[in-house]
Amino acid sequence: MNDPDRTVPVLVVGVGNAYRRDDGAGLAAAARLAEAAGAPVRLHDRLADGTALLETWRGAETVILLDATRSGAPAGTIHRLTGAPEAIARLEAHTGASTHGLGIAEAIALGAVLRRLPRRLVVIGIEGSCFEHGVGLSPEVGRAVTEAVDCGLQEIVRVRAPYVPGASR
Amino acid sequence: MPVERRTIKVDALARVEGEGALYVRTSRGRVTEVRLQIYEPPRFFEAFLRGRAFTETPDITARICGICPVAYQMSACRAMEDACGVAVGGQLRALRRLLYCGEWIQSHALHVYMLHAPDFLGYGSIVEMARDHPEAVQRGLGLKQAGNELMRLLGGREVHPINVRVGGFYRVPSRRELDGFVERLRRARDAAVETVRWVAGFDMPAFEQPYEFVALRRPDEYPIDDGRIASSGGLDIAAGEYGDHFVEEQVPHSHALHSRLRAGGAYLVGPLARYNLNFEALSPLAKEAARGAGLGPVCRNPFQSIVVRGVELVYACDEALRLIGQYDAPERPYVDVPPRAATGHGCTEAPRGILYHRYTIDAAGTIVEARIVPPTSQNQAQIEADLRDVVQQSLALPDDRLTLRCEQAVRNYDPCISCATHFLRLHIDRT
Repeated sequence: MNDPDRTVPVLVVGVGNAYRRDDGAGLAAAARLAEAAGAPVRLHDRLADGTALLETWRGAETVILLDATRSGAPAGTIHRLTGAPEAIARLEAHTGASTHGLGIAEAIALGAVLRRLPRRLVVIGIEGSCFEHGVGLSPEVGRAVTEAVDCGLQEIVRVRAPYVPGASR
Repeated sequence: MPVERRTIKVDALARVEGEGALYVRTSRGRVTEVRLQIYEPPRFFEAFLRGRAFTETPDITARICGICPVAYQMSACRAMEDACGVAVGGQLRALRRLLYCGEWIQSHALHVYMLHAPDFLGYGSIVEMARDHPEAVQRGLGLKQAGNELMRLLGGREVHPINVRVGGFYRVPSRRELDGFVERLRRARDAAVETVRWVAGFDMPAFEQPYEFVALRRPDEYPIDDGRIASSGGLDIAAGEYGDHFVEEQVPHSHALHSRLRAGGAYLVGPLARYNLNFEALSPLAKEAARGAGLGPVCRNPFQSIVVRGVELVYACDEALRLIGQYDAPERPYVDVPPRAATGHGCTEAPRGILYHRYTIDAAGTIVEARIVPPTSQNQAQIEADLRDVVQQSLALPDDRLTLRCEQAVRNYDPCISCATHFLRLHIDRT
């Protein structure tokens, strides 16, 4: 976001590398989710360093972050991680080798220590299977992008729903 | 320590860019073997540049590194312009230097605060350090962000900028756009001065080496984008003579080639080399920051590289402000670079040291041959030499502390393993 003082209710963030096959799943899903929800989006195609995320979500109340995962689950599995502690614990296990200065889990942990996290953070992980050089998602992952978009839309609907005291959110 | 044989192994070095490992073996209190193993797979950039248009090099080579893409773009452009007999000067050169300042600021801030400072303060990671030093970490993040914003302003985006072309830029900023950034840079410069004070207070291991420093040198300015290749041993050559004086060798334990001086051996590139060969060219504020940190014009302790990076942060902010102050938007964003059959050389100062490119192109501008020598591969032999002496000096330490000291010594060089492959885990064998 260019204006550091601006606040937005919902921000969609996509992370990945479109030139490493399924690693582009988070970028593809974030672009589609933002369009479907009419929400602002920031795409980090090849995030050089995770600390950039702390700046990315400055001023955002809710952040939906989409990224590819590599946990050993079947390709196309959707992981929905709610809140920083769960995201940190499970992302450390899922993201594997990274050449980033700081990984996403570390960036979220740093954000938690420095009180630079959005009020609500939901990470939607899309399990990939092919991280080789090249473009295009594997078929299962391509289908899972639609599921990830739906999952993100449900989160956004929940955030946007008028607050009804006593109602379950 | 009475133990006869020790092995220290680090299987995956943390807080370095890319994947590598370290293996050290000692026998009867002597270091017998040190190997910096770079196992990040090679990426064959030089091979797939062949057959591409000369105009594609800034965008293709930018992809080699997410931290220092501008260095690749600048060395590539310089080499192609050299081949075609075109010199880019005036405000276009000033803008290139300004973009490069952005990269130095973000890269040095990342390394000083996020990667290297935890070693000196005894933390396993930046997250642990942030719990006790939140103010410092926020300052580091702010500095890094200023560098990123400068890169975005001139390069179109901060990772793999897209606005650089052979001959100049696709679009140049207006005077007003740059003026709008002045206040941000002034705050960054204050943070950089504070950075030098902060790191100067760290406990520095006593360790000096008789380095041969290699860096670009110009009498009139601190080297970033231009200069002759000079060394503390008296070398003074043009980029085109690089191949006559430096040689790359394969070693069995690394995917990265080791560089050596034909006339000497291992040498050191990067902030320490630039500083020692160009101290007088620093801005008055940067010199003052260095003196305030207790540094003279010569610094041979690689652990103090963190202070020198701080001094270069001050310089880069200062220089960026100077460049903006004298800016006058050029009428055209680039100069024409008509191709011709020739070989060109380009050498610029990436944050980690000199980055050399050489290309041969045909009359249509198609690349026939490409050669890229990144700073980390040039430093590998020197890193191993440093480690040998660091381990020898520190044998009394238990394995866990010795391992940390070794990692800290490697991080003195801010190695960029992804760049060097064609890089960390640590094994120390004490026998």
